[in-house]
Amino acid sequence: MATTEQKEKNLVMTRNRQIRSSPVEKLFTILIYTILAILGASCIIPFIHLIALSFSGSDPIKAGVVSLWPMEFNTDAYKYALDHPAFIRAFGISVARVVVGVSFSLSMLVLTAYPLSKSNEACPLNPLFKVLMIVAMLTGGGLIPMYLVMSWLGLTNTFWALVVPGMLSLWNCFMVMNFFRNVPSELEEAAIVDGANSFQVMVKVYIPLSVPVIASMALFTGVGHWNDWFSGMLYMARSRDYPLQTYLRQVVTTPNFSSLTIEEMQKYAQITSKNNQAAQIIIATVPIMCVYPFLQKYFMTGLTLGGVKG
Amino acid sequence: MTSAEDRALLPKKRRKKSVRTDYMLCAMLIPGFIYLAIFEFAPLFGLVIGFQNFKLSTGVFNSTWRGFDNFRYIFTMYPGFWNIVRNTVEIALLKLCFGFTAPIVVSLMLHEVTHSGFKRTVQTLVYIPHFVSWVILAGILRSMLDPDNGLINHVIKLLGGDPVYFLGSNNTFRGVLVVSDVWKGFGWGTIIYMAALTGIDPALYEAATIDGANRLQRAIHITLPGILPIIMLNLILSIPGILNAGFDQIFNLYNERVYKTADVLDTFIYRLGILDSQYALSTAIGMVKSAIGSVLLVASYKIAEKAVGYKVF
Amino acid sequence: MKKLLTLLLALCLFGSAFAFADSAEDDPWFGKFDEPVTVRLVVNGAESEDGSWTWEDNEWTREWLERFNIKIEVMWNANTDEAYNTKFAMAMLEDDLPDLLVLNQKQFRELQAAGKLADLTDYYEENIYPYLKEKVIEAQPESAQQAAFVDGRRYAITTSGFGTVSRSIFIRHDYREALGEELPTTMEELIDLGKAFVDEGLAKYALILTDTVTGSGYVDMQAVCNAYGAYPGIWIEGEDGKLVYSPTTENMHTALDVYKELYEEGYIQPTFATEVSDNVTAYIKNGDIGILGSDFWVATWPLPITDEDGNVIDWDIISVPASETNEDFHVQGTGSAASISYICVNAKCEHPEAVLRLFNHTCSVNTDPELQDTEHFHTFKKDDGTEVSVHMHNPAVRYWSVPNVNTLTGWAVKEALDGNTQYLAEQPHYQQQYDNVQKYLAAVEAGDKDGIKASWGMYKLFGGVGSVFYNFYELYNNDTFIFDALTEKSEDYDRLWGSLQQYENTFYVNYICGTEDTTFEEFVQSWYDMGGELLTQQVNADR
Repeated sequence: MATTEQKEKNLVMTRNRQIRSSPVEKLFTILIYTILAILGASCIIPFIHLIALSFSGSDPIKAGVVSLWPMEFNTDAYKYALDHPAFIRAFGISVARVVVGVSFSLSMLVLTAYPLSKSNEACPLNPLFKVLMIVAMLTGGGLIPMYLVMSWLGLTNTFWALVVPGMLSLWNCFMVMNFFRNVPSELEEAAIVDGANSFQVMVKVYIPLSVPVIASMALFTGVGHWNDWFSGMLYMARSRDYPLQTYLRQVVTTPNFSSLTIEEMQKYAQITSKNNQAAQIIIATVPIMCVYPFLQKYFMTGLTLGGVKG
Repeated sequence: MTSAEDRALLPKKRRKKSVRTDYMLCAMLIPGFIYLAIFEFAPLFGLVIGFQNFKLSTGVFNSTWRGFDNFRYIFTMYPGFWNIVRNTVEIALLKLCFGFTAPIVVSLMLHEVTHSGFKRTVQTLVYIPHFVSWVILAGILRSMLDPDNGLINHVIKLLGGDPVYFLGSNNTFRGVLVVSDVWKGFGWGTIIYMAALTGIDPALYEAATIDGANRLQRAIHITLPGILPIIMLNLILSIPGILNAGFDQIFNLYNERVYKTADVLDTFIYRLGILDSQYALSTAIGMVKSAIGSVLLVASYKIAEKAVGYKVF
Repeated sequence: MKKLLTLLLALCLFGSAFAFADSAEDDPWFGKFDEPVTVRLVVNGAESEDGSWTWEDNEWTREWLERFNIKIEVMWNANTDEAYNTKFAMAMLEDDLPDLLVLNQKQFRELQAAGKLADLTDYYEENIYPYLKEKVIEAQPESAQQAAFVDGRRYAITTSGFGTVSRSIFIRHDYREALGEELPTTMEELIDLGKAFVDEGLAKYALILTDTVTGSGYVDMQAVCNAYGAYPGIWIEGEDGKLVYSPTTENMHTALDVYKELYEEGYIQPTFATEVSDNVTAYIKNGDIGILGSDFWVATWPLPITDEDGNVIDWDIISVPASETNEDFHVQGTGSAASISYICVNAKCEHPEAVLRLFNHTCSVNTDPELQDTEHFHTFKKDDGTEVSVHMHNPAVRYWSVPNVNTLTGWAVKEALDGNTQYLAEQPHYQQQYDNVQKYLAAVEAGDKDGIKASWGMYKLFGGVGSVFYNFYELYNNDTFIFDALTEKSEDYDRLWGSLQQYENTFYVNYICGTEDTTFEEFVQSWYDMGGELLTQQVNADR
């Protein structure tokens, strides 16, 4: 938010003015910059290495000499991945899951957090709901009972099994609730004067004012859906309906040689799956890398309003 | 309470003050109630399995009761159970130790950075690992730590060392777990501290500088105390995680070789319930874990409220 | 689960090929149903990556629909073993099981007790093709067959999956040639050869070991142990007819002493106890080792290795040689009656005979008198004459890594190389491997380095005399294989076995390194005290 940025700027300027650069302090500064640069690099190097692998030929990969730059440059691995309907399909299912999952979650979140942000007098169900939420946060049925419920609902083996459970994150709900409480009441009053009912107030006043927190929640939920592999494995009947991460588990699992058949071994010897693996991982990571920098400015607001990290 | 007619006659401004039940708000909570009932409370009935002598022939409804026998069996008889508990706590503590301090140190360093472009770049970079799934990170780690042609072992060999099978040895596996976990989370962890740091009054720095404090002293005497409440809060709130050693991470990385040091409650519950079809035992252990987690959660919230005046709900 | 399917396959592989008799409606084995019958399956394996086939729609399912009017419905499939196991556990819990079930002992007992399995007694008599009964199911060890029965009723078709594969000895040809030595015929000669490699400065170690001293298949003690009459990890029948755990016998002591001596003299890596199998790859590639006692797959990975000029370094392959002192020599095969796979039919299934018909199909008989007694495995001929292999897309029977097939391929290819090519036609696998061998020979002829490198492994596996699988065939023919005599794993067995094995391995390592004063006798005593006694009693309960 603008005010935060402004504050930070002032702070930095103030400190800049005050700091006299003694040699020790200079050394100190260099040290900090170096360490931070190394840390920053450490977070990106594995991915650069992976990109290098994905563009490399199989011989240098086998020899283990590819580091951060492709050797025997080629794009076969990408062609291979993009030529595979199975991979493309898994990718598409993940995209669909994120889109549907995020829309479901956000609707549910806003719809629940809004009444909760109001007084108990206005919404007498609030105390009961909050108690239930706390109890729910403290208990858990575990994998097996959850599966039985899903099966009883007839959701297993359907796409909905991927997006419906976990639709309402209780923790996020508290965060959004807190955010709503800080929205200035004058705006709401003005809307009411115009004859809006509370649903309209929520849509017209609260949601536009809560873009940072909603964007953050959308990002967290979206990343959660994109990265989840377990529910795909548990609930989907056919491997062709697996979301990308569940599909990738098969790709990144290195084969155990003693259990391979001769035919499988031959196949494995012919293709160095490592570059294909790398290419598929890169493709799977790209969407997140593209989206998150745009939402980065909202993180801080989104995360800090609840008071703790999410 | 005034009657409806009275209220209608009141001027709008006053009407606003007197709060009435807004049925639309109540209606908006209905999906939430349904969700809680189905996905949070219905599964709790499944927990009865933990108290049963659960048999496939009789199912959930007709299996005989065993009371706490399943629990007793696990705690006293199940071979290796306590080793798994120890693994869980040890791994979680190790991760907590490093994963908790790393973001603080990094935030303090970032705070000292005056070049805003550099600062933003570093921040953008260190957030990246948080967004990548353990399935993918496990793939990357396997590739990089491959004893035969992995990047890390290649470097080790260049430096004249012998290749190490990081993921296959009980000596190194935990190290990989902790380092990769810290690496994945430290950048993300800084966000909360960076936010707190912007809230420190610049006047304090000015005053300290006038008093002749150098940067380190300022960091220790002003910056650190400035974020101390949030550090405390974070520490307290991470207590309940002590039984969560990280299922996703371990499940995607471990193998039979390192069960001895890497098998934790969550992976054990999964294997017991799924691979051995010991539904009752698995549910029972899950229940104990969840119960302990709840106690710790409540305790930590209480402490948080008392110690730093933070109210979660 | 992969293993289970492998075992299921074993069943089918012992069958033989066929040409369909005109399917009469009353044919209990191959008849066509009047009404379409659906058989529900679950499959451990992903579908085609390029979308060319699915588990419901491939040459097998189309064939089944046409031949038998059996429609395959795949309830679910999984892309990893984990996913399969998870789904299967949930299916058991929910009682939403497929018509055809492949179970392990534990699952079999539980589901049978719960009444979820069909009684196959009558169906077995009526609907299993006699040839399949005789040659496959009833040709198994008695213990494996008996496991199918509960209270005298048959609930499963069991398959034991005994495999006629063992370790092979790989010897670096160039090292041996440099010394002008013949191929060793006894274990003593082999060890001397290994020592000579080291003494002459060719290799660094005579033998290598890793932290996994038994059962790794890459480098472990099995080959040497077998030579001295010890069989790591399996139970054998003692002189008194009782079962005994082979590693607790005196023969094991002898084998361990051989290793201890080698270690003391520096012929084994001093740090082997902390090394992992991946270190072995480095030793092989660096030429530090001239002898390997390993599983067959070593021939295709990490071998072959090349010299600086890109020429493949040849290795000679021999069977594990017996020690001079061992008069009753055996090599151990894989599998045991205790790791039986249970092929069952869901009690809810309306047409168990349809499920069995699928088996008849994959394991049925040739009606051509010319080919009557030849074994045509895992393949069928379509009407248009094309052949389809079982292992490809058959949803019921996916894997065919059954070593016995490879063993027979070793024989067929050897015969073909001797000019008797008529056997190759019996099944595609023979022909395929023969072609691979020919590729190698052609590459050698042409001096094509890359070609040699690419085909060397398959040549070493199947290339006639001196190849891995022909060696196994000879061992098999001479009845040299010995198998695990364990028939049943009790609950105590499951509970205790892990820690007993761990103790055993730790002892071996310490004994060889001399880091522990425990004598072999004390080890045996401790092993019995730690639960071995109980297990020995239990496995001998029926004797």
